[in-house]
Amino acid sequence: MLEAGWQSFRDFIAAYADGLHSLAEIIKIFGAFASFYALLKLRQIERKYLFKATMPGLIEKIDSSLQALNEGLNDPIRHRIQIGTALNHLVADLKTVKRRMKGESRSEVAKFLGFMRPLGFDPHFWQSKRVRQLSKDELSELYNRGRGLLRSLENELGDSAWSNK
Amino acid sequence: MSDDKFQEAVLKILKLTHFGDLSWTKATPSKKLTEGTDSTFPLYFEAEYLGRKLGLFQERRRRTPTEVYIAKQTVALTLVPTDVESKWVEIPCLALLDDDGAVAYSFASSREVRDLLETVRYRTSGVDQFLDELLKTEN
Repeated sequence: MLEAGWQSFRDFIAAYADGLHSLAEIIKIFGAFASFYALLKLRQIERKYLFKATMPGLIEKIDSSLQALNEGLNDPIRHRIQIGTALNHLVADLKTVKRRMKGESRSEVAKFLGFMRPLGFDPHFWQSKRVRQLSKDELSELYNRGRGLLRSLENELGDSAWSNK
Repeated sequence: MSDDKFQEAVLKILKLTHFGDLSWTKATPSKKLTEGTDSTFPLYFEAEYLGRKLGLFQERRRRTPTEVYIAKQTVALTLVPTDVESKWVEIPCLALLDDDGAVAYSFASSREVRDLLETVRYRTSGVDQFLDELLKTEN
């Protein structure tokens, strides 16, 4: 009985060898795609949790820089060191935010950094690397843009709190 | 009216203050604001612009249990350390006032209002002149 079963199995394999081989190849290819998809999904989840865990701290840091900038605006000449430090911290924090974000807020951050580049902060190679003395108008514009940006980051964080997927 | 419009208005008031186009004076809050409440107002400033009176103040009051709960939830959610156990809370407020000093409209408290209050506090304190004079003295 057992021998007959084994024989019929071998006959089956011999008869459909080509088809079974193709099926095995298809399963292997499908498996490779599934692994790749799982990897991408894991990366997305990691990015999302990293965003949720680190963004509140970054928002507070950006807020501190804007607070310092606001204080400096009272007398930009006297507080130029404080303003310079605040703006450098702002650029560093925004670059971190840009790395960890996607979508609309990321492009907002990129726009803000683009606005700061001609002023001498993190410039492209063809732009001046020297930060010149910024006028009160320019500082005020930076402050206003920064506050707007901070609001959109807070909104994005609020949105992400609704989803735990 | 959208939130953005209010934010824009506060930013404009802040800019006018920075550029000296809007000057604030320290004042005493009207009884309509202080009576019938446990809140105190350690800082209170007034300014006039476009024929309307603006009030900027810091309201200090006890936290309600709901506020303590929300603060704790926020800490749990955002991991930002906040003093959730503190029973007192200080809220910066910007308001449009009536002629008799009553609050006609209160702007939502925000980071911008906090910065405005800090700016007005700094400018009215005369700390710059004091530091200049202090550093000029020889002894």
